[in-house]
Amino acid sequence: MQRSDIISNVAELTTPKDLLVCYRSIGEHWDDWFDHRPGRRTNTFSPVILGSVTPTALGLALALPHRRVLALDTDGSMLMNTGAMCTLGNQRPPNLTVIVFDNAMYEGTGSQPTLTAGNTDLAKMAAGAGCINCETVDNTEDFLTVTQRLLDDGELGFLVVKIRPGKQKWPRGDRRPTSGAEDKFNFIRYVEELEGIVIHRGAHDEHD
Amino acid sequence: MQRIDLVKAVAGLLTPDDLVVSSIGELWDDWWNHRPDGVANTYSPVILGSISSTALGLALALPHRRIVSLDTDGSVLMNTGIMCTLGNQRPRNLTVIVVDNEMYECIGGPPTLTAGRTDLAKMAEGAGCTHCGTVSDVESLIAEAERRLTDDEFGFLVAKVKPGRQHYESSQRRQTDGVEDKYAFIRYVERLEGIVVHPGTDQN
Repeated sequence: MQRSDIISNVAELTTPKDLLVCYRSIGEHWDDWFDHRPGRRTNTFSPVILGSVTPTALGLALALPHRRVLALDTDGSMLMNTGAMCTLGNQRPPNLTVIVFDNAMYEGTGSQPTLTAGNTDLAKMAAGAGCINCETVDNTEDFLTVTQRLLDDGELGFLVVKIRPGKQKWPRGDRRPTSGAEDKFNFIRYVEELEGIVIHRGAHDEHD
Repeated sequence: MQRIDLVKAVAGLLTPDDLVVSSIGELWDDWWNHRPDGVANTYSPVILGSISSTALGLALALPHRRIVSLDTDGSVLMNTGIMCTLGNQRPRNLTVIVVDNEMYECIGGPPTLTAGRTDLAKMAEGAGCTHCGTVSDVESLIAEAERRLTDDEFGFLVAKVKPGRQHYESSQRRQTDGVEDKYAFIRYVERLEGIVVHPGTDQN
């Protein structure tokens, strides 16, 4: 099971009304999602900082408790900020599902092993930190069953998906054509439209 | 069990031949007054989250030497990632003891996340650590700490303590400066090991 198999499955299990936070690894993860996200809508925000994917999703889930929120995180990113598991485990937002793509390596920088290649079990660690519904899957069938359950159960879920390394080669035309700052504004406007709220007024309003 | 009970119990299990890395705050005054033989076998980094990391470095550098980390819940929560490194290195000569009072006591007592749902021993086990356990009374602490100190394997023990601080006269409080402590610790390790760690500025 490779990352691109799973990403297309996530897309099938979600709708444009869900909000996602997705790690933008050096290209590939985000390109996979960019080409598979439901309705190709801007319902996804991608922080560029390792360790900030799940915390950002937690903030969104707490701010919009009626909205289904997903974090598409990675082992490298989670290991950079395992403390997020403790906050998550104490908040337990019922509308949040965290999915950690665990390839046990920093694939984008040359495949150095992460600590999940050794003795670290992120799902067990999250359970210790206070998270509930912590599971690990390593095949597509289990992934579909468990993810569907975690998305529907009205409780926090923390799913680690063991994937094999391997990159989907996207032709240039299929790679994300936008910049990060642009994505941020697109995401804000998307949330505003979805929720019927104002988050960020235009810059000129600040001077009125 | 209060922190002072823990400090006395742990001090009773150690000798001046062991090296200790201790958290700061009021724990330091407790340890200063009760450390074995009052010798400079203890280093105290002033940075939350760096206690067990420093102890890990010592344990890897001196594999024949028994190393103890006297850490705290506030400090471990500031750097839970260290559990993963510990769980993958598992130095046999290191025992981590986390003093868990479930609060940031010396800044007024706001609760830490261990007052809620976070279980540091379970989390450490998930991170790959071995011999993870939790104790909340002195008898269990002595038994569990002694086992981990003598089993020649890595151990991670969380000791739940009730809040409460000792009151020390000014003369009983640590009389030294942190930078001074660092050098005193370096010289102590040099004498203990018969090695040169830091040759002094003139030698550079």
